[in-house]
Amino acid sequence: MAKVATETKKSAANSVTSSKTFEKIQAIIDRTSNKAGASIRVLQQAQGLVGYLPPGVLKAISRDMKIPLSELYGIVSFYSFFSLVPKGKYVLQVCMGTSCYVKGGEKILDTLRKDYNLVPGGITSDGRFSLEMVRCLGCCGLSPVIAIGKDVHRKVKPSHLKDILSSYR
Amino acid sequence: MNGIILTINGKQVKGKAGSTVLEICEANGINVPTLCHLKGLTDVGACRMCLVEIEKERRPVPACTYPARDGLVVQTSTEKLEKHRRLVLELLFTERNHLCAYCLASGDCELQILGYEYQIDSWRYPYSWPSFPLDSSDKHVMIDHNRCILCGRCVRICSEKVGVHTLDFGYRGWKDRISADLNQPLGEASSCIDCGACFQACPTGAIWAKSSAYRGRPDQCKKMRSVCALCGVGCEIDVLVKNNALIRIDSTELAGDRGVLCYKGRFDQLYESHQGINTPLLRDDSGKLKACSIGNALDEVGEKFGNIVARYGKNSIAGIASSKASNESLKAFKKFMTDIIGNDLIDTIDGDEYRTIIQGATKFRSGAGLNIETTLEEILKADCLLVVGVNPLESQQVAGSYIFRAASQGKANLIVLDVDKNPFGFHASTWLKPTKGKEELAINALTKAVIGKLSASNAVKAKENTTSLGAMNITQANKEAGIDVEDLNNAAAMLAKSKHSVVVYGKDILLRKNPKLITAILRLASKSGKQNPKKPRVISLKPRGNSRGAWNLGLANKKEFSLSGLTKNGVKAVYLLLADDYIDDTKIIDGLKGAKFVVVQASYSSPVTASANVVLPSPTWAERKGSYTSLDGITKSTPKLTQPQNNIKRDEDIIRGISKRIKISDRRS
Repeated sequence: MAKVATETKKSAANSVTSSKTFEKIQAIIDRTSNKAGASIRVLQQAQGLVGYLPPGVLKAISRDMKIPLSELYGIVSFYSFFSLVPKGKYVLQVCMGTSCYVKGGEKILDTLRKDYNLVPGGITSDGRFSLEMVRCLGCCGLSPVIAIGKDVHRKVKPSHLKDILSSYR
Repeated sequence: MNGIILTINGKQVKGKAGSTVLEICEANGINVPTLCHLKGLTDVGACRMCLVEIEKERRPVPACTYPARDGLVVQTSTEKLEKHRRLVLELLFTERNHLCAYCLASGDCELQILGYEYQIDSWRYPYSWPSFPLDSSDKHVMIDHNRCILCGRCVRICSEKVGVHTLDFGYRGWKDRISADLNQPLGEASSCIDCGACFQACPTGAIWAKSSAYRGRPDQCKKMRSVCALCGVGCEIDVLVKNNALIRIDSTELAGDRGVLCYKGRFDQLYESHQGINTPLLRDDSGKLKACSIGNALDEVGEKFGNIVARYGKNSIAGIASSKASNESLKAFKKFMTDIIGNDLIDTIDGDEYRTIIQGATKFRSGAGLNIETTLEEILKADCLLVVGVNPLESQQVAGSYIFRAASQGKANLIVLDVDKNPFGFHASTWLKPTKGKEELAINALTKAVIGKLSASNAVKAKENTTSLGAMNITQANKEAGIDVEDLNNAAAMLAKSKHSVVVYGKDILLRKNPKLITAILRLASKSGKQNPKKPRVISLKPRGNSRGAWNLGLANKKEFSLSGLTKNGVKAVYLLLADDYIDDTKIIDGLKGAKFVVVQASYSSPVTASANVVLPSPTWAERKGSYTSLDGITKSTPKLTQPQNNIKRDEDIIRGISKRIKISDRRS
């Protein structure tokens, strides 16, 4: 397990520092910078590319777009969508909206903490999943729901988690 | 249609169209409380203290952002508004740590003043006991986020006036706070230039200066208007003095056009940087410098100078002055050398730079002097800036701020032409990096490229007087100068299409002692878009605080002048007026070795004073009344701020003392 984690970390670090990543970020900036609200769009796409926004990426965006670092940090820290720390291969979102909470959303969180040592804002030791709490995914009729990447899983019970998570490799 | 008439609190008042309601209130002496408003900065309406009621508006609006119109009916103080303001203050006092008894800003705090005015002695919400960090990582400025009211004045001054935008808001809601760069401690934020504008802009005790903390509140100090004489930008300052010490230096109008200061002017002057000289020193028989009375020192200087003139002739004494001295000291020094000693062996320490500029300007246009240069204000109006061979953030930081301000938000293109070691290049949209020694070629190649990009009619005009460039092959020249062709073309296009380009050059160019470089720069500037060909907008960042003043007074020699050359040619004695300059240049110290008798007049003990036969004291900038001329030629005066130790006499009085004594020895012989 530990070995997997370090390898994932290494590859993540490599993908961040590699010049290819920066070339891609440059391309994002080139095609986006003339559009309204360019900074948020660029940050969004850069996070999509790298997985999170490490200082090096923010500095590159700041330099190329001539936006002060402090302004970028203001945006990144304001929106919970942006992350300054690495995320897992899959982002696991547990809904804590009223309906999901009542139907047992908190039990899902408890199970994740106990069985997978996964807390909101954290990442599993193999780097596969990171956990976020969200407020309503807009499908309260299916509650409690969790979302993994773009898949939404309906009426989740803690006992389902093992099967659901093992289907993501 | 420029004037408008409003009714404020039942009275008719006049105002200018385009102002805000707050501006009209202020102009008419109507008090509206504010916190986030700072005259000169963009208003954001954040604090809601300046809420006013306007007829036909559904709810109170902030006066600072509400555009005034003809016929508005405004109420600035109603029961409802006062209730609102009280609530705002209560919430502010609740949110963070505003316990005045423990705050060093107590007595100098805008929040506290309003707290007293609205009699906030309790608040109806539970106190939130915040635990934000205290950031003491910076050399000069401390930030206590617990005392912050999030007015954003520091953020706006940092981005709008200083131009570096180190500070901004980070996080959200309860966690909202000021953060620097990537939420780093201020001392580690690389974009911060330590200018201290945030400290002066802060209305509470959230940002404060280590240098003046707990040394006295402004109302306990004497406040005097002065001018900073450090670098020649000529910033006007308010100096707070208590117990004969400088407590704090403020900008007179922080958000004004020339309002920003730098860390040297604001903070460094509050500390004694070198050991001061409080008494005259005389080298005794054993070769040691010993303290003596001013009378003895002047007798010795008068006698030795008289003897040397009598024995070796008047051309045996040379005078060298630092351009940090005041105009009054320099005038007296020049008079002494020309009238009493009777020669023209006089120069300033930065005389080489003067000769380079003058010779270069004369070659560009005969009869051109320092007046060919433009003013610093032109930088703010520029749409294209070319910075050559200087890092303004190091030499004249405030000029660097003007450049940032002009270039921020894409208003002006910034081109830097200098070696890749100049960190200022990172701020440029185009950075030309010529090989060292090939700057002239690079500038000429750029000039030719600019001419090539001008519209046909302008190009014909521009080609006059540039025949020497005719034969130049740009590609070849680029290769030789080590410049990227694409970069050169970009820069040339920017310069050619600009309507108000300004060229700034400095230290590295002047140190090259090559007048041709200056000519090339002037010629390049004169070809860029819409320039007066006889007086292109060029400004040089000069080496010392009063360089322009000294050069205007004729202290710098027009002929070549070198200390070591002089002693070889029969100069026996050297008189150095350093004033509060600190010199450890080995060239000067070595040059002095050839002289028999060296007199140094200085405020600080330095390697130069250590090699003198007689050291005369000199009051510092703060200890004397005087005038200084900025690098763009504006003369401003400063009062005596503090009393010098041992009542040291002014430079001109000491010089007069020597003059009197030399005459006596003349009569005897």
